[in-house]
Amino acid sequence: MTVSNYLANSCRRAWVALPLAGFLVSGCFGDGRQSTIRPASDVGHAVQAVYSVVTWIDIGIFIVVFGLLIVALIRFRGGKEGEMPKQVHGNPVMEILWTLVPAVLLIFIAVPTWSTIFLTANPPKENAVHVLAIGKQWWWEFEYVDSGVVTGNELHVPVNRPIVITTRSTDVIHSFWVPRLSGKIDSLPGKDNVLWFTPQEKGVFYGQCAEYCGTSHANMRFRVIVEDEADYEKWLASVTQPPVPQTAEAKEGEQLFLAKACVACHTITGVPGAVGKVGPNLTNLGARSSIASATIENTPQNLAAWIHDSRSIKPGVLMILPLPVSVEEAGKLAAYLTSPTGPAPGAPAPQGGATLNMKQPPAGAAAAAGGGLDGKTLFLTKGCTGCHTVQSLPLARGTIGPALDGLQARPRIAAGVLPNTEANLKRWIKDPPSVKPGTLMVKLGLSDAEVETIVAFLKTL
Amino acid sequence: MTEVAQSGSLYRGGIASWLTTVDHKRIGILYGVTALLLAIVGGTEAILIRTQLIVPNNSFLHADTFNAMFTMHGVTMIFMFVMPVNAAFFNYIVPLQIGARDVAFPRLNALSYWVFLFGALLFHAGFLTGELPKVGWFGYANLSTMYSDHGADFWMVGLQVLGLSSLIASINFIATIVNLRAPGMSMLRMPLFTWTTLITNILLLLALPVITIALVQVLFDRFFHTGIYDPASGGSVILWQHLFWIFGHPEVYILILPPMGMVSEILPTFSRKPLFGYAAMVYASAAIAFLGFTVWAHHMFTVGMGPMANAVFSAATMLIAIPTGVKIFNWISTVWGGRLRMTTAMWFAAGFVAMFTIGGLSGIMHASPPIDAQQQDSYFVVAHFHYVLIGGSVFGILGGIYYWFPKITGRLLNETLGKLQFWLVLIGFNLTFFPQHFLGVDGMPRRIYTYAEGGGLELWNFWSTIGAYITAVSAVVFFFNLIVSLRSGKVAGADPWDARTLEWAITSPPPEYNFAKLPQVEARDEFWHRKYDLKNFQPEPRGHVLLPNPTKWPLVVGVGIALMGSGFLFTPYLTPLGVIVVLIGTYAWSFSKFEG
Repeated sequence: MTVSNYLANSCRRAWVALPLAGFLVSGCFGDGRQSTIRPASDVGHAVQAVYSVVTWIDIGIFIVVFGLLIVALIRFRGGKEGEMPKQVHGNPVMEILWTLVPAVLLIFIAVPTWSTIFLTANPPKENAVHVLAIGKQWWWEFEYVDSGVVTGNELHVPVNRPIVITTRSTDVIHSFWVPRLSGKIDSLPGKDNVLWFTPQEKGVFYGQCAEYCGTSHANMRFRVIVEDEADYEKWLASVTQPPVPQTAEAKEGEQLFLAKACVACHTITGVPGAVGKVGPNLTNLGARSSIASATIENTPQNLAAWIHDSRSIKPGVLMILPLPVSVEEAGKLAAYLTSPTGPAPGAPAPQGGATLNMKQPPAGAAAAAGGGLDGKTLFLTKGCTGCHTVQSLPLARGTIGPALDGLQARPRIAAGVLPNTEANLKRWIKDPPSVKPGTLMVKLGLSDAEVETIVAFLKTL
Repeated sequence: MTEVAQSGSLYRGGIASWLTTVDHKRIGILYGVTALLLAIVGGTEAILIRTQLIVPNNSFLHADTFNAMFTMHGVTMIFMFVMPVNAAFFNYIVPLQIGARDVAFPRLNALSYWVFLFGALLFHAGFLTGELPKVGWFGYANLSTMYSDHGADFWMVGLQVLGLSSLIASINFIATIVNLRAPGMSMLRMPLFTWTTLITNILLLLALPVITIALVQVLFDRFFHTGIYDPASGGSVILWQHLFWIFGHPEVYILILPPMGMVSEILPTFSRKPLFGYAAMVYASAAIAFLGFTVWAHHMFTVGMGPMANAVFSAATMLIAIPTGVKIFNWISTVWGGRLRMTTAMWFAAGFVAMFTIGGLSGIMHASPPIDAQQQDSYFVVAHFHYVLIGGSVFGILGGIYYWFPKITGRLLNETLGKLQFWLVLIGFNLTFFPQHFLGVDGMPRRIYTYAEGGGLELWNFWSTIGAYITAVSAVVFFFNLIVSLRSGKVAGADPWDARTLEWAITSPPPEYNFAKLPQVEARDEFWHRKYDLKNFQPEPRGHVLLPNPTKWPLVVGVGIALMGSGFLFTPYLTPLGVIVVLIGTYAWSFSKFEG
């Protein structure tokens, strides 16, 4: 669609749908990509119908009230000094009229309102795509209920099928809002909410969190990509396979992904050991048009800048790198992450208890012959600092898990699940999900010797 | 009389006399001056907010600073500007309008002011430690209870203490209006401003305890980890929203009803006609207040309460439009057929009718849940509430200030500066907020410190900010007018406007005892009745009257309450210290002798 074509259509649409001149003007500037009056779904059009009725009634009332007021201010101004106007106290007929007429007008608003409330509250069951949208500070996780596919910040859906979104939060209240497709509903901790819509146009639809949720609320955006059924199925398949590095740079990035302990927070389906649940699932990142919760476009420079220093792009973001990543390294990681996905060529079958594959010696490690790294170095290099804070280690400033100072003095660990003994601490670090199912602390694939060394270090805190 | 009456002089007695005063007129002035100074603080925060939003991806304010600014701005303007300015007028004007010498509980009156002042200071104390609240003015759990730093405690304690101030005052004003009316002044002969004061204070009395409890629960969650608002502990985040809005919705009527009362005094005076449909206005105000308790969940249409709950609250909300419409038409009918004098006060009152109508119309849109699902938490809501709060409450209050300033100070505010201010604020305010309707329609959420380029939000954000700067200029003109007129404004005399109600029957400023002889009331608009029906109006003779003596104990108890709150902000030892001070102060207050 050419620009002038587009403008003509949207201007005309706005004029027909909502007569207010200002809406017309605003619809002509910018692309209206989050507009509430350019519906692209069945539910959107139903709401638009009620919106139009109320807008006409509002305009009518506005003209009457303003007209009377302005006429009164002009007509009765001044007059002869000392002149006393008639001391009127009331007029029962007028008073009854202007009580009843608004009541009648309200019925014209109430009836379509009532029916639309019940329409939007009843998701269709046939042929629906079910998605779980989980709001987190400050990004969106999407899980396709039927296939189990998990992705982040960009939601692909097929056109002309009902999309039923169940939404919740794992921290504070958020709100799921993609204006061109539907009104919003809050994403609550502790209770699921449902909204639904049937998209009727293909395209990219912009959404944004609509409940203030902390520092980067403004940056908690997302996109809904509506496409043909075939394209949708193709995308769904592509998000279940790992990236296959095509260049030398991407191959180096693959090693860095493991070495820099990104796996502590991120999952990539099909990459052994990449089972982190704290940040978005990165499978087929290359297919996303945007990154950083849909705030910046997915270009190699942007992605490298984000990986290198995400806090400069998104204030307060919880992504604190366990190990520093230089700009050059970030570029390689970006190349790897955006590689097209496919079955991993000759990949070893993943064993139960995925292991970390550390091919590159971590930066700043004390390289002792015979592989005997001390506890502090292991703590710094195995990804612990991505989630935990230890005051005496400047690099350890993670805020996702508990701060570990004073661990020695705590009577219990794992949030009270186990008494704080050396054996329990080893058990916990070795395999957290076996102690506390659902915990965000992943099994890092540490050897028993490594666990023992780390525990010895932790006991000094 | 050509000199400003000396017996009610503002300047007599020095600072100590202001600290120990129990005179409703002085307390009214304290409330008013404090509120206007805090309005400057809130307005500055607004300018900072709009400057950050003038262009997309701006870096004028850091995200956390912006989030603190909108939090502070909201709380300051509501609790430390509009409510105390309303209280200033309750204090100063209502006893005069009902022909009384003071309020029912003068010392309690002083206490309510000191608690307000200390609440305002506690709320802002975060500036000293660099920790400001960033939770939004209604601090939704569990962001405020579990995901906020120490700054949220300043919000919690500040709100709690400020609420206490209004609760104390509400008991006072209800008792005053019910009991101290001059002989012959039946309820339906009371001026409408007195009526709206009564209704507002009943709302305060019923609504404030709810938020008091809700905030105590926040305190327990934050300090003692009780989990009342934590789903993981079996609590509920929605509970906070219900409790808050059960207070919060009546709160908005608390904010608008007194300015509606002011407008109901100003329009008749400058139209030289009585208020059209007085009884209907009384009943409509009472209906709005009563219905205001039934609609709170219209702030929660997107929370997932289910279609039936949404439908019921939608119907109740639409119902409130009816008495509101009645009032608008009554105001217009008051002006219709009159002989209008377009003073600044009259301009603001007329402006109120127009601007509040716009705010009410966007409110009708919000009343429909399907529409609200698009508008909630967007700039459309921001536009709506600023129209009713600024176009409504603030315009009414500004009208009230221009109307009653001569009674309080004995001098008139400059009319030329006043009209300049009016047109500047009318243009500035509309330029700031009308385009925000478009921003909401374009899908801009609220409370975002920045927005993307290319989404169509740039144009109106820019002009909205320009409007804010124009409004700021109008504020400068206003404060300049206040200061200049205090020193050298035209002397007003007792009745500069040829007005209708009893406060204009005595000197400007009034003597300390208000009325030498309590008036015998025979009609509504008693003063007008005396001037034009009876035509035998006699000016008030001077006299000596026994009045309650000044006392320091309300100030002491206020300090004690502030210390109790401070314990949750600085060091816990302050709380028990505060309790001791309150106990000592209350004991001494109760047993102090009356010396006339």
